[in-house]
Amino acid sequence: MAAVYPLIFAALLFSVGVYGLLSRRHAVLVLMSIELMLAAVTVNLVTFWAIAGDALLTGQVFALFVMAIGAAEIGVGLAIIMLIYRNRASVNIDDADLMKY
Amino acid sequence: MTDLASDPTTVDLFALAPELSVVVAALLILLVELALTGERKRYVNLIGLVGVVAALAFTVALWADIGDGARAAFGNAFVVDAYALLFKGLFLSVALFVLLLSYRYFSEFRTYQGEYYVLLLGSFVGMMLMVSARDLVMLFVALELVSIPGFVMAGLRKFDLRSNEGALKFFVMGVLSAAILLFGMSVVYGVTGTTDLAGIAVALETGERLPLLLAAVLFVIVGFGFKISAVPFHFWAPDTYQGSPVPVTAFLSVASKAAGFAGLLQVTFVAFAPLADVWAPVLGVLAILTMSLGNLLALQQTNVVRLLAYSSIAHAGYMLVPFGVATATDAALNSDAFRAVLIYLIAYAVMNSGAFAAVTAVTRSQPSRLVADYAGLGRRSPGLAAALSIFLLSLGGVPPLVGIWAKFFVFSVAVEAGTAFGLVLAAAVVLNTVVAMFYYLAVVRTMWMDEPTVEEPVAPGKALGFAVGGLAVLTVVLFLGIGVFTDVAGVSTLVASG
Amino acid sequence: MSSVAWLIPALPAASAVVIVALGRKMPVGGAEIGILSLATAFVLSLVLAVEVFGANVAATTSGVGEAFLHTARVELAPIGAGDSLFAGIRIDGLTVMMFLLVTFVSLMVHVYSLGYLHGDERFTWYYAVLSFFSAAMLLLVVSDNLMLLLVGWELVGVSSFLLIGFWWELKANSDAAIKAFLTTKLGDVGLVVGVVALWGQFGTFDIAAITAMVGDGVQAGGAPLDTGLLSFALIAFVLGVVGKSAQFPLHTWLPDAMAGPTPVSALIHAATMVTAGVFLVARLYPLYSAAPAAQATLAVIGAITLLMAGLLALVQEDIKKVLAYSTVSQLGYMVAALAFSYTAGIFHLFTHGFFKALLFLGAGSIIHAAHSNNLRDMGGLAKVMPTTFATFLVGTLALMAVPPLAGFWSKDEILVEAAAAGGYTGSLVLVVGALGGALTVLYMTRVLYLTFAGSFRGEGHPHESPRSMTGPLVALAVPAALIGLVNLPVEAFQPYAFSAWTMFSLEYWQTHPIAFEPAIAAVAVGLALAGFLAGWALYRALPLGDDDPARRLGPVSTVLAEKYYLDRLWTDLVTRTIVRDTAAPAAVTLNDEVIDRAVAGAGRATVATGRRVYDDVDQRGIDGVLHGLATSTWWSGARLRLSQSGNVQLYAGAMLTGVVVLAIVFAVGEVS
Repeated sequence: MAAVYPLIFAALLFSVGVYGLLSRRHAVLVLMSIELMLAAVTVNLVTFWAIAGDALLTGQVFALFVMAIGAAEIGVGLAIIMLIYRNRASVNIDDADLMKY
Repeated sequence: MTDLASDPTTVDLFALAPELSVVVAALLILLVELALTGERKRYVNLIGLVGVVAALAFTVALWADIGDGARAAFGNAFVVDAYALLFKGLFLSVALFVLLLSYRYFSEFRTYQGEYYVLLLGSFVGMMLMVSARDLVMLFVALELVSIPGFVMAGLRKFDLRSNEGALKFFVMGVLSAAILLFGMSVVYGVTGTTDLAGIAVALETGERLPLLLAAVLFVIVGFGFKISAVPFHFWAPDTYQGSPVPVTAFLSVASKAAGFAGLLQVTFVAFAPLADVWAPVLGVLAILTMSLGNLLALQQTNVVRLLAYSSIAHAGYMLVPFGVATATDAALNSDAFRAVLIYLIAYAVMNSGAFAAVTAVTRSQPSRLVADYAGLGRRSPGLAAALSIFLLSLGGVPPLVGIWAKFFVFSVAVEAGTAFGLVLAAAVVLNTVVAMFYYLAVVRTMWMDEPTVEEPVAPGKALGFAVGGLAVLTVVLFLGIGVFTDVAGVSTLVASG
Repeated sequence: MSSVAWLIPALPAASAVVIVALGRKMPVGGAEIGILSLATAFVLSLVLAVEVFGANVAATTSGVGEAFLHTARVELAPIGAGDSLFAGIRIDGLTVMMFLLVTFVSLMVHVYSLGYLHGDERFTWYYAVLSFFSAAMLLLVVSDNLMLLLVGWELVGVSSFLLIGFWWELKANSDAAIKAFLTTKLGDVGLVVGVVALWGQFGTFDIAAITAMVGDGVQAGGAPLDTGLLSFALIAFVLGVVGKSAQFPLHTWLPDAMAGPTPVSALIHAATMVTAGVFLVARLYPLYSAAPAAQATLAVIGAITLLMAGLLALVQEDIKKVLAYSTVSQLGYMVAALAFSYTAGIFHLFTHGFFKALLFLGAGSIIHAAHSNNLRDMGGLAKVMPTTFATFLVGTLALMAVPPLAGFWSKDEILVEAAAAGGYTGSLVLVVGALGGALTVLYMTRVLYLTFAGSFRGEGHPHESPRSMTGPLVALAVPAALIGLVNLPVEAFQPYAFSAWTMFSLEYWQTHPIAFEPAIAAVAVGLALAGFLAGWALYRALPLGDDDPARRLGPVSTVLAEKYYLDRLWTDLVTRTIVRDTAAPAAVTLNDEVIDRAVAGAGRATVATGRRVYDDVDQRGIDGVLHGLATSTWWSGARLRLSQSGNVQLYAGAMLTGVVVLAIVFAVGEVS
C-alpha cells in the first residue's frame, strides 16, 4: 500500500484527537483525546521510518519514547483530575474557571 | 545519517557529571525524607542545595576542561559545549535560588516536601539535558522532563481549588503543545531522514520546501512557544502562575521559560537555520503581539502575582525580538541576535527571581496577593520595599539597573538588522517599555506613597532574606559588570558550531 | 584642579548617603551635611571656574590656542562590539557654567528650606533626596559619554519624582509626581532612540569622539557622514528635550508639578532639571550645527512653546502656576535660541536660572505669609514684606527683560541672533520672541499688582518671612540683577565675557561675536512697555488705596514711573500748548477714552486669547490627547482581557486557531 495512506490516517486521527480535546466536557475524555493525538504521532513516526529506513531505527525508537512519556503524562493527568474530583465532586472541565481575565 | 562520533558502549561520565549530581541528590532526598519526621523534613532542602552546588562545581570544571571544544555522549545527541555550560550554570543558579525560596514556604506545609524537591530537581535535570541536546528525540525527552514535574508542582496545594485549576490548565495546554510538537518532529524526521539537529540543517539547505515541511517546522516552534508563553500560546500562564504556590511560580516564570528559550534557540538557530526567512518574520510578529498583550493586560491587574505573570509574558515578547531579525545568511547578525537573547535571559532571571522572592516574603504574612497589600510597605519593611522597587524598576528598564542593558541589546540588534521590520520591532520595544512603566510605577508608588493597611513589618526569614538581598545587589552590580556576560555569550553561540 | 572636579558631583552623592544613615540623629536633622556639601561644591566650582574661564579668556585674548577641555575616564565594563562602558568626566566652559548654577541655586534652596520645611516630619528624607537630586544633575552635566548622561538623566527623573510627590499624603500630589515621571519618560523614548542611533552611526558613546568625527565629516569606519541619519538622531533627542524641558506638547506635567514644596520648584523647575534638555542640545551643539533640519525643529518648537505658555500664564490663579508657565515659556526661548546660537541659548539658561529661582523662592515666601497660593487671596503685601517685595520685584524686572537687569541682555541676545539668522525660522523666532516679551511683562505685571498692591484680601495677618528664607532671596537678587553684565556686547569686553568663558571652540567664538542691535533692543523694550501699559490699564481698576507701591520704589523702577511721566507730559503739554478750549478736553478724551481703551482692549483681547488657549488647546486639547492615549490603552486592555476567559478548552481552541493560521502563513507564505 502506498506510504501516504498511513500518514493520512495519522493526520485524521490527530484531528479527531484535537476535536475531542476541544469539545468533550468530561475531563477523562479529554485525556483520551490527548492519547489519540499521541497515537497518531506514533503512527506517523513508524510510517516515516518504514519509508526511509535509516539503520539506527530512529523512527521506532522515537515511537517507543513517545509511548513511554505519553504514559507518564497520562498518569499525571489522571492524578490531577482525581484531585479536582475530590475537591469539587465534578469532572466537568467547564467548571474549572475560577481564574480569569 | 547520524555520525557515531563517540563509542556508544562507554559513557562519558564527566560530561554527565552535573546532571548526575542532581539526580543523585534527588534520589537521596526521596530516601532521606522517609526517614525524617515532622519539622525535620525540611532539611532535605539542604541535600538539594549540596547537590546543586556540586553540579555547579562540575559545570565550572567542565568549562575549564573543554576550552574551545566540546564533549559528546550518546552518539552526539548529548553535547557539552560553551553554550550548554553557560545555560547549565544559569539553571543551577536559579535552582539554588528556588531552593532558598522554598525552604520555609514548604516547611510550613509539612507534607510532600520530599516529593516537591524531587520534582523540582528532576525538572532542573531536564533543563540541563535540554541545553545539551542536539537531537530531536533527546530534545523532546528533556522538554517533557522539564514540563511534567511542573504540572504536578503547580497543583501541589491539594486543598486549594485555584491550585488544582492552574495545574489542570497547565497540563492540558502542555500536553496539547507536546502533541503538536511531536507531530511536527515526526514530519521533520520523515522529510529529512534524521533527527540530528545539524543533520536536519544540512538536509533543509538543499531540500525542497514542501508546505507540509514548513507547517511541521511551525509545529515544532509551537511546542517551545508554549513553554515561553508567547501569544497565542500564553493563555495558561496567568492562571497557572496565580494558582501555583509562589516558589513554583517563580520557578515557572524564570527557569521554565529560560529552558523554553534555550530549546527554541537550538531548534531555530541550528536545525531550522536555513529556513530563517520563513520563521523569522513570523516570530517577529509574535514578539510584537506578545509584548503588547502582556503589557496591556498587566495594566488591568489588581493581583500582584497575575500582574507579574502578564509582565513575564511581555518580557518573553521582548526576548522574541532577536528571533525576528535572524537571517539565513548573515552570521554576524545571527551571533548578535543570539547574544541579545542570552543577555536578556540572564538579566531577566535575576530581576524576575528577585521580584518573586519579594512577593513570596509578603505573601507569607498577607496571603491575598493583592497590590493593595503592598501599601505602605516602604514604611513597614523599607529594605524589602527598596529591593522590590529595584526589581520592578529594573524590569521597567530604568538605569542604573541591569534591565536597561537587556532592553538595549535587544533594541540594538533590531536596529542593526537594517530592515524596515527591524525598525518596527525596535519601535515596539520602546513603546511597550513606556506602557510597562505605568504598572511597575503603580506598584512602586503604592509601596512608598500609600497609607499602610497593616502595621507589622514583613519578616522574610534568613534564606529568603538572603535571596532577596543578594539578587538586589546583583541587579545593580550586573549593570556595571554586564561585560562579563557579553564576552561569554559571544563565545558560546551555537551558530558557529551549528 | 580639574583633575579633582569629580568631587563636585561626588560630594552631594556622599552627603545623600550620610544623611539617610545619620541624619535623624543630627541637631538640624541632616540639613547641615547637605548645606556643607553643596557649599563646598560651590566653592570648588568657583575655583574650577577661575581655572577654566581663565584658560578660555587667555585663548580669546591671544587669539591662539583651544577652548579648555579636560576629560578623564575609567573603564567600567566591555559591552561587546569593541566598545566599553566608561565613567568619565568632561570639564569645559559649559560644564563649569552649569556647575556654578546648580550648586549655587541648590545651596540657596538648601538654606531656604530650613525655614520653609521647618518641623516637617520627613525633614531628613527631604534633605537626602535634595542632595541626591543635586548629585544626579551634576553627574548629568559632567558626563563625557552619552550612556552616563542617560543614567544621570534618569536619576534626575527619579529624584524629581520623589521630590514632587514629597507630600504624598494628598493624592493629588502623588498623582502629579507620577504624571511628571511618566510624561518625561515618554520623552525619554526619544532620548534612548537618539543615543542608540548615534552609537550605531559613530560606534561610540563618547561625546568628544563623536564631535570630532562630525567635525571631520565622517562617521564610524571612516565612511562619509550621513546627515540624514544624524538629523534623525538629533530630532529624536528633541523629543527628549520636549519631555524633560516641558516644551509643547509635553509641557503639561510642569504646572501640575507645582504640587511639590516651593523650594523644590525653585530648584527643579527653574534652574536644574528642566534645563537638562536645553543643556543636552548645548552639549551636542556641534552636531546640531551639522543638521539644519534638527535646528529648524528646535526653532519651531521653541517658538510655539514660548508663545503658547505665555498666553497660558495670563490666566492662572495660582501664583506658582503663573511662574510654571512662565518657565515653560522661557525654556521655549532657550530651545529656540539654540537653533541659531550657542551662547544666546546658554546665556539665557544661566540668567534665567537665577531670577526664576528667585521668583519661586519669593513666591514661597508670599505663600508662607498669605497661607494660600491663590492670587485672589493676596494683595497689599508690599508694605508688610518689604524684603520679599523688593527681591521679587528685581526678579520680575529681570524676567521682563528690563534693562539693565540680567534678563534684558540674555533675551535681547536671542532676538538679535534670530534676526541675524534670517530665513523662515529666524523671522518666526524674532517676531514670536518679541511678542512673547510683551506677554511676559503683561502677566508679571498682573502678578505684581495682585500680590503687592492694594490691600490684603486673604485671611489672617501676613508678615515678613524669617531670615533663613529672606537671606537666599537677597543672595539671589544680586546675580538676578547684575549677572547680565558678564556678557555685555561691547567689543573690547568680548574676550573677557561669558561667551568666552563657555565657548566650546575658539573658532566658533571668533566667528560668532555677541551682537547688539539697538533697533531690536528698542522694539523689544517698546513692546515690553506696551505690555506694561496694558497691564496697568487692566489692573489699575482694582482699588489700590493711597499707598501706591509704585511711588515707594522711586529710583528702582524707572519703567513704572515712566508711565506717570508720559501721562503727565502728555496732559501738561496739551494744556500748555493748547488754550483751554474744546481741544484740551478733546485731547484728554483722546487719552483717557480712546488710547487707554485701545490699550486696555488689546490687553483684554490678549487675556481672552490666553483663556482660550488654556481651556481649549491646553486642557482639552493636549491634556485631552494625553488622557485619550491613556484611556484607549486602558480600554484596549480591558477588551483584550476578555480573551482570558478561564475555560481551558477555549484556551486550547484559541491556541489551535493561532497554530492553524500560522501554519498557513508558513506554508503558503513561502509560495509567494
